[in-house]
Amino acid sequence: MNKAAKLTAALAMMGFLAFAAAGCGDDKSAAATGDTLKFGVTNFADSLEPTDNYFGWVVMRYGLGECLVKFDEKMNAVPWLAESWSVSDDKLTWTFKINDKAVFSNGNKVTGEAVKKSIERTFEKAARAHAMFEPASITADGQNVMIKTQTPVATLPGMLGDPLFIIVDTSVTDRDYASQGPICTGPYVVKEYSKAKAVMDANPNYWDGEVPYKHVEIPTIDDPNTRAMALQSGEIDMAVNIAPGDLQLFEDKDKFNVSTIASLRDVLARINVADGKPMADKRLREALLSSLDRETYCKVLLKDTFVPGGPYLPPSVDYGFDEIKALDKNQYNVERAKELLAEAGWKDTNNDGYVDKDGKNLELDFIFYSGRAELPLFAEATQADAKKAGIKINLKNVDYNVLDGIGTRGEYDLLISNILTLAAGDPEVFINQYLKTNVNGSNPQNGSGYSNPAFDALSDRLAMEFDPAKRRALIIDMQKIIMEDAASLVFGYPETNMISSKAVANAKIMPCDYYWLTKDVKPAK
Amino acid sequence: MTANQPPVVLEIKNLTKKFAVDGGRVLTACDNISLKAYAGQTLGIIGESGCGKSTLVRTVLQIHPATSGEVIFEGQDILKLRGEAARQNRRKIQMVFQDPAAAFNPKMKVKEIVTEPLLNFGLIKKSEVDARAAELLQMVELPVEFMDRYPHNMSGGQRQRLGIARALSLEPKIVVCDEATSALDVSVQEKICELLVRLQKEKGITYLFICHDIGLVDLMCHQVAVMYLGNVVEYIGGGRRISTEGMHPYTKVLLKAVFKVDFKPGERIEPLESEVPSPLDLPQGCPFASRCEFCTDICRQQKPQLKEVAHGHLVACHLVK
Amino acid sequence: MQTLINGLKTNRAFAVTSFFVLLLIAVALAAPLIAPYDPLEATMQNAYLAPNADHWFGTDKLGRDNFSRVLYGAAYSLSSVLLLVTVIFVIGTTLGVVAGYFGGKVDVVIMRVADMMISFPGMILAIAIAGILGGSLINAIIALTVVTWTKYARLARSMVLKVKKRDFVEAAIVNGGTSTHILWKHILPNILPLMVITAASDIGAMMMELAGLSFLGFGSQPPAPEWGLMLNEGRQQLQTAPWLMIFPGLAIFITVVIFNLWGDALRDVLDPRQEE
Repeated sequence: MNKAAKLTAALAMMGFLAFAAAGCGDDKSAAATGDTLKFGVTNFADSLEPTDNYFGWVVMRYGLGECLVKFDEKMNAVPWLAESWSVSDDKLTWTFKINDKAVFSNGNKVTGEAVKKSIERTFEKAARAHAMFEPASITADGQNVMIKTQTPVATLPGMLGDPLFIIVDTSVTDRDYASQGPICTGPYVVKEYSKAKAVMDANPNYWDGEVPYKHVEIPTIDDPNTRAMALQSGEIDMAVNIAPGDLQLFEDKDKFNVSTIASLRDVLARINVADGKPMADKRLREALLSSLDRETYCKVLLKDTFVPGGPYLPPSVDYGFDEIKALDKNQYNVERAKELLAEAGWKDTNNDGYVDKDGKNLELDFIFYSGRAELPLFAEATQADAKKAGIKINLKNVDYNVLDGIGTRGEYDLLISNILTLAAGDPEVFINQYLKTNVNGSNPQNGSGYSNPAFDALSDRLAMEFDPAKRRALIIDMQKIIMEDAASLVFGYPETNMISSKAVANAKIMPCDYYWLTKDVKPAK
Repeated sequence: MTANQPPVVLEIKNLTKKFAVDGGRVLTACDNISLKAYAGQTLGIIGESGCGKSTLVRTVLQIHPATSGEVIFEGQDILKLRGEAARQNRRKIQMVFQDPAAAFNPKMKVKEIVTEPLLNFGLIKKSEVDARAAELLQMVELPVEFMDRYPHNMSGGQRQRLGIARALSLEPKIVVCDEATSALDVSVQEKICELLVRLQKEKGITYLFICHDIGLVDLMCHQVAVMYLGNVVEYIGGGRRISTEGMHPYTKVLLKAVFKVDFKPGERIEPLESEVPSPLDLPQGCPFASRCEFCTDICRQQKPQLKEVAHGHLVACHLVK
Repeated sequence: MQTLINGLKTNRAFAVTSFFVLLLIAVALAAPLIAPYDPLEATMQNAYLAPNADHWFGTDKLGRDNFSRVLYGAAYSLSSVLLLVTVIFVIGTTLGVVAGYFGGKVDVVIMRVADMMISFPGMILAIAIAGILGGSLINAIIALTVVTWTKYARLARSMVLKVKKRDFVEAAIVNGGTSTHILWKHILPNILPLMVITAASDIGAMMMELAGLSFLGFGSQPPAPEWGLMLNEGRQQLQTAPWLMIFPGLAIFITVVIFNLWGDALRDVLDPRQEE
């Protein structure tokens, strides 16, 4: 190849790289019409089977499925398919009255019996449901469903708001849930579904009002920057979770509606404290926490879209955040980190920049995934800061799908993820999830080896307690133990956002991110 | 055998070499060849391009495997040698190449080239290379200073001397000269031939002298074999000269086609009219049938075998008695 | 060697491009001396600074000095690509020589495997391999070797077949040379110039491929200051901090151009069409 041709080729290569980065899409059609909405999302669901994994979230987010109960802005459980409910005096039997107008998208009425069958299906198929509560019996009578529990469950209504319990028409047996989804009650039905893209049509039999759009296209754009660019260019009308670095692209109020809210999420890293692991020593955990400048990560690196981490539950909920934060000894203090390391017997004897003991460097494997923009950032920032204290961090980027397995098997020293803390409208499930002692598989999600009898005792009492004030006190005490034990590395609490073009109204992000495409999202007038 | 004929040093017996060609056809390069070479004497092999003479010697040198036949040397069939035994046998049979431009690795110096065979067999040490190279160069009358040159800085004749020096470095019994003078000017040819003859007298080497120049062959060789399309059509030895006694029609044609110095005015030069047929489709009868002016029916139908027409003189022709 | 030195004297393009190659290597080697900051040192309060007097190329997402990272990236990227090209060269040439010289079943096997590889689109296969093995520089090198060796093998083989026919190789056999001796002394030295030219010309392309793999996440991993990786990290801030892509991109571009031009000049100097 002669020189001129080569130069041109190299320049073209550079140009191409820039273009690729610009995320050229393939569909440049116009903004939302009254007919069609284009909504860019992240999607982890291989199928629309609500009982599989956490795929029910997608069934609900896409406007397909609804539960008996939903959560308002304050995370209270309010009526949805169930118009009211009550509990018996012995606290064991809950009665839910199903709204008489409720029908499935195929026209079948939603009766007590239908709800019963749907809930039974969930328990049959999802192990996770049993970790939430154990039903002694489920019976139906007309529009009522009666659920009797083995032990009193104070938060049962909230649990039924978890997408695991989406009500599906079990009488339909010939549908392939993976590509068509179940028959449910939501405003939209599936025309076609794949992990890469969903096409929804309006539900002709929707029970709760007018469906605003005839069609909704939901392309999966996992890369946050590409998603932002698609929204910016008009390729999509609406998007969730725009990365902090891209928010400034949407400041023009004449063009975009920006809805942000302090979420109910934590970004935290589980810590493997099993015997033999370096982090089994509490001083080392404290040293690691103290070496990280979490405030700068959140304010500078993430452009102030995160509140810096400390207590186990976020400040957006009322569970003693300030009280617990005052007890935090392990905010950024590099000297303290070094002292703790020395105290625990770790010194840099061979001058390679890392502390060592018995000839081995202090090395931690930090597992992360790239699905959310902040996770690699926290991981790399941790690596850089920990180095200054003498701790070596090895970063391992894994696919989101294998994360759960790695977590339950404890194949990590640190494992970061972004977690919804109030999954059932109540933090009990979350606070137990990674920290309650795992005895013979009683708590499979806890692969970290953490076990504190005082914590477990509080947890057991919490399971029985119906009084909200008493529950709050127990949860605060549990958080204090976590703080004292440095059992978890909480990086920060994200804001979550939903941004739409001016052509779309009511694209509002809720604290609980089960609700994206709701019946309220409609064309702006 | 006459009383003072030296012993047979190499006997080629019924050597056949066929090549498979695309399309399933077979090219017969050597067809049932039998020849003898005598110690300290020169066997000439003459013929046009494509007659199989180069293939013949390369088969003898074990560069190609033979299809069938034997080559008896020092009491054994050397075609059956394999591996290290075959390599060791090479010490005794060497070759001088036709094209002095191509016969040497352009990246090697003269002294490395000429001593390479010795080093291959571990006969000298690296430290002795310079001394031995000097000896060998002197043997072929090249200036010793050439030792550090590259072959491409030498003339054609000088390079051919180098080739001879290399071939003789192992003091072999047999040296194949494959058109060793064909690429040289006539005056240089003479000098090289003189050198070869001198070395033969000094060292008792047997030459297999491949050539297409019948005049040169006549001067240089004690025995001459004429080849045509893979066959020996005439063999003459025992003191007779091919130039005067050649009898095969092909031999006669070759003789007529040569430009003689004592050309009589009016004598016609008669090159052969037709072309050499392809050795792929060998005719049934005499290989020369298609071009022979004396061709008869029997020539086309039956292949003539070598018959002794006089002592030490064999001809393969139906028309010669 | 002698030819190279002569080339420097006579061929101006070769002299000039060789100078730049050496300059690149010198910068790469001198990075620890020239770089104003530690490329791994993260001063996070200084994240995303535009180019200024303290940070000529600005800072990246963790507040690391971009200029220092680009400099160290030279050492990193250059050494990786030279290692890669050397590995491909050695493996490809060896297999090609073996196939060409020994022929027969060995040749058939090697060439069938090479044919199979040709039918795969190179970059995609490299991505697949790197994806399976996991992202790391070594695995990226392995992946690219698997995909690229065939070119060298084919070239070496066809050259060996040509050289094999030449008289002096026949002479070497007749002289009693062993296979090893003939390969080493007669075959290799006569094919090496062309192979070396091919390798030199490939440096530019291989640099792009390695950067490409790192860009996609399959090569070097953070916090390595490798140019391809830096491009990837910069991509996320393309609109808000474009200097994070521009400077590493420019660095790759310049390096590739220099090596390509050098490879061309080298071909002119070492041209095997000598005056035989």
